Amino acid sequence: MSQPAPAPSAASEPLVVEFPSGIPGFETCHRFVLVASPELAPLACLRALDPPEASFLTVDPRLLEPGYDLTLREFERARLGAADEPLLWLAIVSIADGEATANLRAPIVINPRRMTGCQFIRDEVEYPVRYPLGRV
Amino acid sequence: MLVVTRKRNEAIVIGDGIEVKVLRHGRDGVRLGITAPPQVAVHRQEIYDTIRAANTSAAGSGVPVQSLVDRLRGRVEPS
Repeated sequence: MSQPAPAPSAASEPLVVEFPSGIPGFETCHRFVLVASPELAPLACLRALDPPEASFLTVDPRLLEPGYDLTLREFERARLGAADEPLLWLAIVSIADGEATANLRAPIVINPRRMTGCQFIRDEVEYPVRYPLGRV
Repeated sequence: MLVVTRKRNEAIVIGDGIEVKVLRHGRDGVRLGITAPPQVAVHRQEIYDTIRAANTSAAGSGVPVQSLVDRLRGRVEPS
């Protein structure tokens, strides 16, 4: 298994990432920018450039679960055009009724070399859709 | 909706390169084998719907919440 990519650096320019299939619920959003800033770190903001221009807070799932499994199936790597280069993993953070949660079940995975991303749904691994991050 | 009857080990073909085969059936359910090109995502509907709902509820929460940032920083292991 390859090493995970480091989190985006604070000084990085917004990176445009292609999501060929969008993500579930936002199938029309094909281009996203990943915005990392010192104020936000360790969160990063994933913002759609296509309507409806959804915006998501994300966090590296390994920050929450150090042993988080970064294994992708062969066809998933193929969808990212990935051989064994490092990939960037992001869990989408949701805040509802003052409770923050992170979706460890369906991580966003980005191949920085090809600037291609996809949200994969893990069928066999029982990571929660709403991993609790506490009240905010 | 197209309705077809299939026996065990019989399949249907959808479009170009998608095959759904009945592997086993019984009282508890039907076991299907799905062959599809790598760019075609295949999911159980209920989990797909759950993820779609989670994405929809997460969208727009892009406003940073300082208390959450502070708490997560507490988890960052010193390098």
